[in-house]
Amino acid sequence: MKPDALLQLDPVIHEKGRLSLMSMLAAAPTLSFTEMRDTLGMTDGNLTTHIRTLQQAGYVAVTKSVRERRPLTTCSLTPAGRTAFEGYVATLEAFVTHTRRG
Amino acid sequence: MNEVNAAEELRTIRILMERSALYRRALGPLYCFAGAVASITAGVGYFARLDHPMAFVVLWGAVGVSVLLASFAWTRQQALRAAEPVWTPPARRFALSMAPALFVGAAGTLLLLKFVNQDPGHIWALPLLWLAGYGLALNAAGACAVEGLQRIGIAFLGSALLLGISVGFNVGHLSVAQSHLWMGMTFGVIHLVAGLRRLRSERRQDP
Repeated sequence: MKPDALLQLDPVIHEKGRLSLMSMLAAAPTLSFTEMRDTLGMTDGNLTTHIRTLQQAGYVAVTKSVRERRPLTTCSLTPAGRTAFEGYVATLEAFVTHTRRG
Repeated sequence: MNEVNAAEELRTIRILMERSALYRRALGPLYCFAGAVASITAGVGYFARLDHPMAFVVLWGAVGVSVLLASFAWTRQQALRAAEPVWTPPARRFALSMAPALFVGAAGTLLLLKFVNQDPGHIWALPLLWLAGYGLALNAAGACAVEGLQRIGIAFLGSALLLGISVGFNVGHLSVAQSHLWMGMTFGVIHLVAGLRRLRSERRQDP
């Protein structure tokens, strides 16, 4: 595998904050805004920006509802988001394996 | 990006995926319910003078079953409201990790029952077994749940140890009536304190 292959990594996912979000969403059916914010230690504004970017790329679906008179925002990965995330991880794994083999 | 960065990124992904797969249903109201039921039951058992070992077992067995049923109903309702399946992989791991210690507690109760019926002076063995079994169950489940559960498990194990020490060193000797109070002070108070703490953290507002 050529190191150039890393240049083909999806730039939407490659950003640290968005990669963290995608990683969390890949392991849970849905997560609330609060859970993601608290786990990642992000500010509300930062998290909102990342979610919007992922939503615009079609990787994340956002659902807004009201639960017990409180607004609830939940996110989940779309099929396209899951495919993109799995491709991203596969590329990284291939790169690390290839480099270690020398 | 070099090999080290790529490996570090994969490690971060794995950690976040593991953290995200933890069991995270809102447990605060459930702890409060369990605490309230245990405290009321302790009061009823003590003041109504339910001094027979069998009455003690039936009463606290009913508390255990009602809390178990309430737990299932509560988590099911949460899952339905979130449009998620009830038996998600984290929920399955959570339940399975509690099961062995709870099974040992139930089987041990059946064994001790005959022994305690013959000599009610040994009633202390039942609360000790239940506290230890429940503490071990929570401690095991805490490994696949959000933070805090293992601390509650350790609190129950500590109370079992305290009871063991007080009986073992003849500091105290529990009658059936006092056993009701001990159950109220441990199952009741520990659950209530933990429940109120969790409720406070679970009710933080979504922006």
